[in-house]
Amino acid sequence: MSRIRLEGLTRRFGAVTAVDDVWLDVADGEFLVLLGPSGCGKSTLLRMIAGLLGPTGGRVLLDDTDITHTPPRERDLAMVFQSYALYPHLSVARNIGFPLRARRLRKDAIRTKVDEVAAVLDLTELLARKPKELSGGQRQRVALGRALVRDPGAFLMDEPLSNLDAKLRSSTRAEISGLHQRLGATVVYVTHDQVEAMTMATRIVLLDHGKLEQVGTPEEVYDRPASTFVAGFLGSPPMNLVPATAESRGTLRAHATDLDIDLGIPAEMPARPVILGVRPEHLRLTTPEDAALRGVVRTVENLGSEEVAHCLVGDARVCVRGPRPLGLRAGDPAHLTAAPETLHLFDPDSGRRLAWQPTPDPAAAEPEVPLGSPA
Amino acid sequence: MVAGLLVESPAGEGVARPRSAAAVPPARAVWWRRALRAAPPYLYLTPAVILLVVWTYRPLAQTVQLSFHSWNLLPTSPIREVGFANYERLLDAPDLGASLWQTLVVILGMLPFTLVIPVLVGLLSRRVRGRAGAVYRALVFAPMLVAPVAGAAVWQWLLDPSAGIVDKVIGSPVNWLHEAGTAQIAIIVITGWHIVGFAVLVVSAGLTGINPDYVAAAGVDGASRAQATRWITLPLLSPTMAFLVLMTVLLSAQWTFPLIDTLTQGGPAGATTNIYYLLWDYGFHSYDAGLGAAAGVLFFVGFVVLASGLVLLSDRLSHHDD
Repeated sequence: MSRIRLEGLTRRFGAVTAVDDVWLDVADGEFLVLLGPSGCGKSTLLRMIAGLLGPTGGRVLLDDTDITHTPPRERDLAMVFQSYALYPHLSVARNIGFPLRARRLRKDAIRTKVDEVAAVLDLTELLARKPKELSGGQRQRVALGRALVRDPGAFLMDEPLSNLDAKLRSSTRAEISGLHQRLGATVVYVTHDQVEAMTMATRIVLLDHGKLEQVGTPEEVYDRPASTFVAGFLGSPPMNLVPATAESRGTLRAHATDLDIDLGIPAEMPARPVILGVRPEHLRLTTPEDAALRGVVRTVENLGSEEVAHCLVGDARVCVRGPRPLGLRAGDPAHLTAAPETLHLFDPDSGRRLAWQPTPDPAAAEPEVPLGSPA
Repeated sequence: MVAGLLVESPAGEGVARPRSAAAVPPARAVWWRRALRAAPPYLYLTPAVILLVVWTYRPLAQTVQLSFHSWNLLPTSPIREVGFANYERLLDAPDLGASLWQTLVVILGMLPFTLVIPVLVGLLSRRVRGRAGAVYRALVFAPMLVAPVAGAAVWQWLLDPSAGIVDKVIGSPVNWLHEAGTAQIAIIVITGWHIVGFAVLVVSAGLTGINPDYVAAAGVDGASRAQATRWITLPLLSPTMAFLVLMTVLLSAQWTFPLIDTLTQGGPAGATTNIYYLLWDYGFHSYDAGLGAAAGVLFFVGFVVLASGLVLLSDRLSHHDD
């Protein structure tokens, strides 16, 4: 198993920069998920690691070898394609055995290894079939088998679950996670599905417009999103983001129309515009007197175990999520509040996260950007 | 204590159904309404069917009919019924065997131009993309746009033994079109030059239809470029190749026709007379319409059998990409 390092990896298509100066270090045995909306460059990045696409700048290192210009077949990486790319004219056994055949292994050695992998993936009964005679889940497992058959340095997976139905997806998720733990394999996994990322990753890389937005454990990216993009991408529904003004009134408070909330920082700071972020599950219903946010309920969605109320606070749309029944109906007034430690602040221009930093020396000049965050 | 029972809850229903209601009979429209609804597909098909009947099936039926008669194509002369005499004459004549052999030679000689060269060119030119690719394909396709007779006239000059550039280049005076051995080669090469662009286009289309993920996956799986071509691309291209073989077998002799008629008229000494030229010769040189029709019917039946076999074969090959 191997470590993968990307140093300033860049790819342009004409005037479009699909991947923009990406630096990453994927540790040996790590399950790294590249997460982002479609068009964010995650698949392009993966294809550059695989060697299917040449970078316009930067280097790819496998362990300590520079493989930027090494053809894919010499890279010792296995890839699972979104389309699975099962060779349609070959049986399941020949599909799984293909990487070994290309390495000129003896026929009986190939068969032994294929039988082994088929047993692990529960494909033994299907070895004689052609790909078109398989269900979606079975195809997915064959694609996985073809990657597993030759202990590669790392596994690259390009949205391998996106063609499966919801039920199969969650069971296959667990299967892949189990496989990763058992093999201790290095995995780079591309998805646009935050649930896959949160459940499987040891680290998540969030990409937007080809740039790294944040790299961190699932907890880090969810609990301390580095930007409004990350905050607005993760969570279902994602974090509420409300433009407000941060100002000291004894303690630091954020206020906007129908909104006035304590940030829990007893400090002095000149007023400045911020984006206030709060997750739907961190908003609580409260009495009209204690309400920090006052809004009107527009609609209520029933998710079975929980309900999501979509409210309007001033001009901002704010979602509240809680166990059912939430006790709200469309048209009701919503009186909401949240604990200071669950609040997030972002810069309105750059979108980056703001953190509170006390001025080290009272005599020194004020910091360039007054930072305030309670979390 | 209150007495009670646990009662199964009924399956959900959109509307309450009366307990007593029998099975609801399916709604059925009146017959003319149903006919009107079913009519459009047939109406759309009608023009094509009429054209097929007028230009294909009726002449075919007339040919079969004519093959049992004797007629010299003159409207004033009588058409006599002769039974199977035309077929007997046809099978007794030595021309038939010779022309079948020449047809086979043409088909085999065409395969390099319709299959081997196009596949090689298609594979090699895959990496020529964008505008360069379009220009390249246009250049390869250009001969197809030259009228066969015009092409033939130019080739006649090129192959001329006294002034032609071909003999000048190879430096030996070969009388290409008037020697038994070389005339057939000349016909095949000129037809091949004509048709190769079309075949390249078909192969390029076939290659474009193959999902590039397969070759990418083969690369990641460790296959060299040659292995990926041999194990992945060519098998996936086999339906296209089967189509080209089918076209070659069925149409080669027809493609050569304008060239033969312009350059050799079937000669020298019948060396370039294939079955199509033979039946044309019977009908329109010898004015033996019955014999020509009999030959036509025989070749038609033969090609139907051959084509069915090839179509079956290509069906078995084309289960591939889905």
